[in-house]
Amino acid sequence: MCEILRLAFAAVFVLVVIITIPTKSMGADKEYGQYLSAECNACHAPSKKSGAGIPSLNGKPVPYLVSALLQYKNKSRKNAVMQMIAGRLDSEQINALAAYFSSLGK
Amino acid sequence: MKKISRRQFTNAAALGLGALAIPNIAVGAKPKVVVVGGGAGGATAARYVAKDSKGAVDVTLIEASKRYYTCFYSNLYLGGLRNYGSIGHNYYGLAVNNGVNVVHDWAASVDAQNKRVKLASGSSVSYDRLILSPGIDFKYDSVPGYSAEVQSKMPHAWKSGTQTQLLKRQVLNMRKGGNFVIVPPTNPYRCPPGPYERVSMVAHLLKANNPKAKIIILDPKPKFSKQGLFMDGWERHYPGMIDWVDPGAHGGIKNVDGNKMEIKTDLDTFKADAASVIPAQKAGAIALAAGVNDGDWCPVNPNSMASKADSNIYVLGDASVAKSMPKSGFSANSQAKVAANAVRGELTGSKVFPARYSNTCWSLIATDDGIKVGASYKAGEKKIDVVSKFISKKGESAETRKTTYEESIDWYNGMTADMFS
Ligand SMILES: Cc1cc2nc3c(=O)[nH]c(=O)nc-3n(C[C@H](O)[C@H](O)[C@H](O)COP(=O)(O)OP(=O)(O)OC[C@H]3O[C@@H](n4cnc5c(N)ncnc54)[C@H](O)[C@@H]3O)c2cc1C
Ligand code: HEC
Repeated sequence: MCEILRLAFAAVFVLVVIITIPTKSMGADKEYGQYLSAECNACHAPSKKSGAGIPSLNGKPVPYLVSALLQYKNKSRKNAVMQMIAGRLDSEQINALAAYFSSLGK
Repeated sequence: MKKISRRQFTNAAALGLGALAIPNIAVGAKPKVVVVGGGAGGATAARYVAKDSKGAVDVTLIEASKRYYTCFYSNLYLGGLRNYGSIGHNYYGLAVNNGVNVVHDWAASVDAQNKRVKLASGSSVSYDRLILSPGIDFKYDSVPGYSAEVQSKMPHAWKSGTQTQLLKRQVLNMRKGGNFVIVPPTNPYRCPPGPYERVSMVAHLLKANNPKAKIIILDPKPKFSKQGLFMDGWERHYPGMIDWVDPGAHGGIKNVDGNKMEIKTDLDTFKADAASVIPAQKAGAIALAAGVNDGDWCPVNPNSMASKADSNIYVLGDASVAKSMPKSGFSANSQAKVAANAVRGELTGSKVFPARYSNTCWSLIATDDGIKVGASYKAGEKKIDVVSKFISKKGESAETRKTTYEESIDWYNGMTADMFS
């Protein structure tokens, strides 16, 4: 009984997250994503210019970008620069950035 | 009937409504941003204001040179790891891709009252907001005996250009087993690890061409950026070649003589076969001419980079007091984006987001042995405060050091694309 309730609760929670994140990051947050992305542009060049050391982010899928940023943030993926950069991004900022970069052409 | 142009009309309207201080957005005139200096700060600021305002703001960039040779990576040119052409960039992308009005001229003075910049050619440009990123000028007399004349004998090579090429020629022409002497500048100066990366790259060049040569660092400072990492690297790659002499040991630089190639200190007179003397620095002349300086540098508001002396003027990069950020190209580029966002907000009503800054300085000790130091920052009450920071560690694997160097190559490409594309 208790288990079923918990499962149902979790399902609703996941649904809410799925519904709210994309709508939020598509609309108003585009401008925010663009502003935040300026910091990234110092190192992440558009695909034509980037090499082995720093990959291009343009056109990468949202979940790919979100999970990479979360891994740097929780330090499970190693890189001093990216741990510093991701360390201060909150989830709203991560979503805005992912939506922005994935919307750019490769 | 004579047709009234839109500009004439809006100017007339602005005159009539001037007393009400209605912002440009209301009257429909295109607001004007003038940027002086097309380097790390200025080129970025011009590009971001133009690109993000999508034609709603007129952007004019005043830059003396037709080609910008980056100081970043100029040490790698000294070391033989880059050719000179590869660190030169032009202003084509700013003009053609972003619609920036690029004017190659010298900004001679600023009439802040009437919001005009006077050019050496005699023309002038008016602005609603002025962004100054002129970089540095030298305080030649900070090193007794040094001058604009002596700089051809003992190049500072601290603004990129012919000085860097001259220095390289002089190092290559050194007598076998001769001395290269470097005098780093006093704080604060552009690129804190720069002199020590220069030592590393000169050592790299000499190791291949003149392995018995010696490098002597006559430092006016008791410690320096990434000191432990550099000294560890020098020990590993260039054992016995480099002597760092701190001010406690040499007692101060008493005189430099470009004809005799001698540097006199309390300790001794050092004979140089080639030398690089880097004097103390101050904000570029136009920032002082605009009157936005307090002493040698220009104080700014940490949340926007607007001058504390004149809210229509922004100061970026080396010329500003952006404590706790170091004077670096990365910092200037980061500050330019905060300023561009604030300037657009003031002139077009676009949304202004909270300032966030970052910096990373990579240095190369030897082939594939790269180190880095960096931090992220936010606007504090009185200054720009550190959020978090990192630095490379002694004893890192060769693979990590190689990856660090590879990152810097991509950063160079990313950064210059971010300035000029
Ligand atoms: C050897 C060395 C290595 C370095 N390495 C690095 C590094 O690895 N990473 C890093 O981030 N930084 C590095 N730097 C520091 C970096 O070069 C500077 O901090 C950066 O260029 C500062 O940018 P800025 O916009 O303030 O000035 P600048 O980039 O110097 O730009 C100023 C521009 O303004 C123009 N100008 C000035 N006055 C006028 C006027 N009145 N009218 C018209 N034009 C004018 C000049 O021609 C120039 O193009 C290094 C510096 C040196 C010397
Ligand atoms: C100072 C340079 C620098 C800045 C600034 C920077 N990055 Fe990175 N980024 C790197 C480096 C270096 C890597 C490669 C790290 C590694 O090997 O895991 C990287 C990797 C990434 C990756 C993983 C990409 C992949 O395909 O694996 C993502 C995502 C990313 N960065 C996002 C960002 C975002 C978003 C920003 C801006 C908020 C940003 N970065 C700012 C240097 C930087």
